[in-house]
Amino acid sequence: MVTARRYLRLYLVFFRNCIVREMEFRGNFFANAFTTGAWLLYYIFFIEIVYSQTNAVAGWTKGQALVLAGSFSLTWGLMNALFTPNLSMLPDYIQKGTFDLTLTKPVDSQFLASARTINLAEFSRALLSVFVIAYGVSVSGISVTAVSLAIYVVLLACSLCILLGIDSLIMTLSFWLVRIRNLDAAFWSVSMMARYPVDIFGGTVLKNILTFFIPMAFIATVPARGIAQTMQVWMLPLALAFAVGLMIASRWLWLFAVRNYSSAGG
Amino acid sequence: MVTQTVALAPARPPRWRKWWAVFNLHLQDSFAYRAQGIVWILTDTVPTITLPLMWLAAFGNRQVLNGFTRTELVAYYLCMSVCANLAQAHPWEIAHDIKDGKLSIYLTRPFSYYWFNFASNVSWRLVRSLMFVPFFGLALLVLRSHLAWEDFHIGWTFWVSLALAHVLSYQISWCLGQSAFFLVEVGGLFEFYYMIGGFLAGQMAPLQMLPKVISQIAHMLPFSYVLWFPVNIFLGRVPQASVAVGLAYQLCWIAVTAMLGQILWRVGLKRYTAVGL
Repeated sequence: MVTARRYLRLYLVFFRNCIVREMEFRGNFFANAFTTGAWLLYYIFFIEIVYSQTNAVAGWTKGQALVLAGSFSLTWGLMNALFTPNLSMLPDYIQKGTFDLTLTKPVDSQFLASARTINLAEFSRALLSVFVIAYGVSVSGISVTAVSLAIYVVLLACSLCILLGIDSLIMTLSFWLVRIRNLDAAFWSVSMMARYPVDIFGGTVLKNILTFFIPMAFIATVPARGIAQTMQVWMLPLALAFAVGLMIASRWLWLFAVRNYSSAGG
Repeated sequence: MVTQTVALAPARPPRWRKWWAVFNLHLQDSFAYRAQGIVWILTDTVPTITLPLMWLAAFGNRQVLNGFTRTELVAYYLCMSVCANLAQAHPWEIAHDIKDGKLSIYLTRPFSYYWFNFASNVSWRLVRSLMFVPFFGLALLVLRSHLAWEDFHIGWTFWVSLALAHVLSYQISWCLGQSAFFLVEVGGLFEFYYMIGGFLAGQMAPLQMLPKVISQIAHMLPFSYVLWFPVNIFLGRVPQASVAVGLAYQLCWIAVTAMLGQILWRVGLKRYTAVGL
């Protein structure tokens, strides 16, 4: 309990530092907030174009597709706000040897390596996503109940955990793949598959891979199904299992990597 | 007399030898960073697979969607990915060289930075295309049930338009990269370019699918001549008469961007202070 309070206090300090820094470069902050919002609108525009030609894509109506797009963008925005700015720097720190500083601090190294900086501009994407979700819900005429909303929130939390777990696993590999500076782009491109309903992959092997192996279906497709009440029952426990499993796996790999880390230049 | 000329020859190697050396250097460099390259290619492969799948799912029971058959639509995105590999240049390297002050090193060398970067881009395009082959195979595998060889055109007009597209894309990057002379932070501008440029080049959706006003604007701007134009020649969707007009547009935009690039270079170098050195 004491440790939890200590980490919470530490996190609040990180947060305050980031606000102070962002407000120093206000122009840059607003430009970034604008661009991240624009990327969301860009994708919404794609949905508009596709649905200008048709009423349904693999069984998804336009409203449902908007809910899916909003859900993806919400977790993606939170991910980019809280974790990716840190994890993406990891190859750099390891290559230059500055990661040693992280290890000398009297705090958990994984916590420090994944939560030190916060990209506040990305919250604009997350906020805009909520409006897109609400818009999608109203377009598709979904009647949201307290239960479906609760399930949706749980599924979104799972989605965030799954993304964090995968990102963490990939970026931890940089302890061995020191030369690949753009490992974060690998995570980025894989997770881009979650932006689309997993059903567009048809009854193919690929759909099963994206559901059961690289669980991209649980990032946005399943949460959107949760709120639209088109979800199958087995999806909820599987989402929870993936979230918990990936959290444990990423923790385990991190500890293993740090134990075998021998600093740069050696 | 003859022996004298031969003796002098090594001191003045032909021009092409210099450029071959630069090209070769970049080629080796590209191979050295192949792992990073593969990651970048992965980022291109995902949309090459997902975007056509999204459209295919939109067909429903129809055979034709806004003039596109399933095969044509898949061919559109596959050809788009090949053209993007061969033609699309990026402004980052130029901007980084200016920002880090590395440009100074190139300024003291006996060749122009413009052509040095051009050689770098060509060699990277070649290596990248080579590395793209297995990923392209993967895309073919996923989309295999919609593949068929229809009346596609890979004659000389396609290759000429692709070559011009390569030059045009490089020129656009050359101009954009030089914005680093004038701006403190170029990331936002480049991101905006990737968003709007990619969209107007037809990378997200065929321009035929967009509202008429937008596609008309796209036809006037240079971006559609980087990807959309060669891809549509390949698909056989550009009438013979319009091919010449399109090629003329490409040349026109190359001339305009070349001029703009020259102006930026002249003015930019005066402002350049080699920060970081």
